[in-house]
Amino acid sequence: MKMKQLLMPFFNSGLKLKYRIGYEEQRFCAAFFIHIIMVILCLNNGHLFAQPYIPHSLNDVVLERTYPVLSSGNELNGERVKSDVEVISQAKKFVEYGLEKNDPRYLAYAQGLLEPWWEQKEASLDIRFLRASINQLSHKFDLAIEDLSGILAIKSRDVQTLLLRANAYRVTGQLQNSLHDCNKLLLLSDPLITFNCIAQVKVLTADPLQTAHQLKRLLSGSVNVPELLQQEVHTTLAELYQSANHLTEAEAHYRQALNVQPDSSFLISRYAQLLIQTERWKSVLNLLMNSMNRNRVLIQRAIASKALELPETNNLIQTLKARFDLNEQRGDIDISKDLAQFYLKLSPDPQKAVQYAYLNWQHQKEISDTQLLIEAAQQANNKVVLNEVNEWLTLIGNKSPLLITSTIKVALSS
Amino acid sequence: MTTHLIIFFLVCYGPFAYCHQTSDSFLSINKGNSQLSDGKWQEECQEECQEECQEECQEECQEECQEECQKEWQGEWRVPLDALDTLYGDELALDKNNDQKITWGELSLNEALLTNRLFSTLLIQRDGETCRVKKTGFQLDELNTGLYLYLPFIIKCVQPGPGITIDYQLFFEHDPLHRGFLKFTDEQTTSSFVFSPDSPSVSLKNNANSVFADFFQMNSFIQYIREGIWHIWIGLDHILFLLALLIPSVFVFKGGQRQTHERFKPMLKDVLTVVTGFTLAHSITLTLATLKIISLPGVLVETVIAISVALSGLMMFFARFYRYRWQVAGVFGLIHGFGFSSVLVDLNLPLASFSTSLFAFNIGVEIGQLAIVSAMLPFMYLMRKNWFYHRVVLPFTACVMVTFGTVWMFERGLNIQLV
Repeated sequence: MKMKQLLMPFFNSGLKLKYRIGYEEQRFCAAFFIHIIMVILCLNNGHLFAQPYIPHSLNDVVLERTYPVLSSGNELNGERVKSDVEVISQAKKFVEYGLEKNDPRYLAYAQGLLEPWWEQKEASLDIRFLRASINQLSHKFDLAIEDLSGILAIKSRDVQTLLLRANAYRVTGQLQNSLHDCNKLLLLSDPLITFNCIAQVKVLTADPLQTAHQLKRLLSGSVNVPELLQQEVHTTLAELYQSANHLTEAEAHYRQALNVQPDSSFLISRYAQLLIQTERWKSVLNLLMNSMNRNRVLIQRAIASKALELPETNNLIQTLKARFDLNEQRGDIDISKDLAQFYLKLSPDPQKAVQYAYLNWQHQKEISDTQLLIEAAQQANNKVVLNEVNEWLTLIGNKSPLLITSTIKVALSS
Repeated sequence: MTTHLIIFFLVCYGPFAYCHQTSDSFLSINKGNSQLSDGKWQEECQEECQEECQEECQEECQEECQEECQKEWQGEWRVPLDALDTLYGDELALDKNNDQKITWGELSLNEALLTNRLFSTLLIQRDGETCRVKKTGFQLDELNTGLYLYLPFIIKCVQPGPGITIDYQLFFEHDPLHRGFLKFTDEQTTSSFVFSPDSPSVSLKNNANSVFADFFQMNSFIQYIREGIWHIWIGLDHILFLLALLIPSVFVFKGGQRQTHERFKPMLKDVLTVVTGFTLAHSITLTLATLKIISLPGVLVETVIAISVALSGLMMFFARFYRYRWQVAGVFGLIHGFGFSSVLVDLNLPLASFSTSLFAFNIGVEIGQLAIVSAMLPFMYLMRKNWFYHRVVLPFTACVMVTFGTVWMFERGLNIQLV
């Protein structure tokens, strides 16, 4: 069989015809070319070439150094050496960059730099503060509080340390201790910073609406408020309004906070949670469109996609499963909140959801953690957990209508 | 300044959400085939064997050592580029012109330094003796977690022995959260391991000398035939493609319309032509791909196989093209051959029995194929004049094939899940 004959059905238009092109051939050729176009579309997508490659040109930029780089030290007698001061200063840079970009890798690099002092209880105050920061951000709150308390025993008026410890106490649900640290700031710091600290505790323990009004008044009465502080106060206001179930005001404050730092992954995630709460699924997807594919973002995107019955839902769920497998292999321990949400909303398994939500609640007792646990426990009909949460809410004197609503449901279901 | 610092901490500490970005590297090691890699390496290995065994004056030693030179491991290592630059960038002076941008040229200029630094953190030993690791490439790879430096390599261990020990130290001195994910594949099994600062080494048993040898001595031929049969039977895409070419065999296009074969013989001839076209084509590419003479990206192969299913399904509606089925079988058979070969490439056939295994696998594919044809042929012949065959079997199977083929094409080509 000659090539000409072989290819005749496809290319006969330009060749001398042995037979006339009929309607059937035309339909067939059209169908065939549609498939070819589809193949081209597939090729353009780039997946076919997602393989190791060598860039086209030596001038192709493969990395832009927007991050700090580990200094190899100064040359001394043929060896590279770094002084302790340099090491600590570099660790500080890594911690600051890690915080700014929400990237735990840099905290790990800082930990690596502090390795010689990591186990030393009586290390210098600078090192203890950095160590506490890294531990707190790695959700090792007890270790962080221990170091911070050690620093405050020597420098009781250190504002940064007090703020950090107040934050650690608040996240772990030790609200009285947190309030105590915030109150200590009264004479040491800006009134707005102090009241913001107090208001964060009062999200649960006081009437959130009243606290929000007070904070708002203080903000409008303050002059020359740095942008970052404004952002922080707006975030607290949003949380207070969310806690009071005033979602429109909460949204307005999230938006104001985002105006200051539009790429803050924390703010985007919190705002997305509010949109999920109000079932505005398309807005969730729009908000998260350009966010990095972190677990929390993927979960929120998957929840919205699932509600809209989009085909990408299954893909997102599979990606999350693969991520959790990897986290498990790595031995990551602080993904319980993500897992709880996953089993609650995406791959329903109430027993697993409550198990992970409870594990998370052991370390973190913010309003969203408590809300998640109540929801999971209600779905799993786990009254033991519900009673425990109820007891804790009574103990702290919860005034949040959001959780009161939940507790009413608890009472109704029991 | 102090207020700004306080505000910075205030803003940053509260909201920090642990987001699980990592600096993990991915290492995979599998049993290779020395015939397909660097010949010089093998020569060097054999020279070393002679020197070593002369000292020991042992014939047996030399035999074992020579045998080991026929075997080697191949590996791939993906190291995250940003972590590499953060931790080693200053030490290796990667940014030559200090413009805070790393170009491919700067990386290539530092290729030797960089790879030496990386491979100094990876120690592979067998029976207490360090194996030699030779880098065979230097590329980039974009994964969904970022840009990675991709380093394929081969490992040569002179000392014979049942397994290897891997000691991994990459980034551990600077990053306690770093993990190295290892995937180790020998002829039959795949195992994985996660290197961490607390468990930086692992001993892996390679079964090549025992289990695999026994496997071949006992019933390797039959095993590979079974693999071949099994592969075509579980490969729905191959079956559908074959069916799409077989079902119209009861027809012939005469006088501008579809007519039914009156006798069995012409129909059988038609079937045999199609099956032969398919068999010859896939045998060629199966052999070439298994020998790694030609290799195509897996996604491309799988996508074109899906297209072949859709296209052959489409052809069932157009009787005029029935005469071209054997050409279609031949052209797309070439691609299906690449699909079959993926199984054999995964199995990493041992050199000693390479041709036998390939032959056995191919026979298996043919047996599987003939079984399908034998089951279909009587049914097709008996039903060929029945309206059910014309009005239901043919259009229904054609629709199924076009649908499946198109769905697979999008799924495989775009890496999405539609169903």
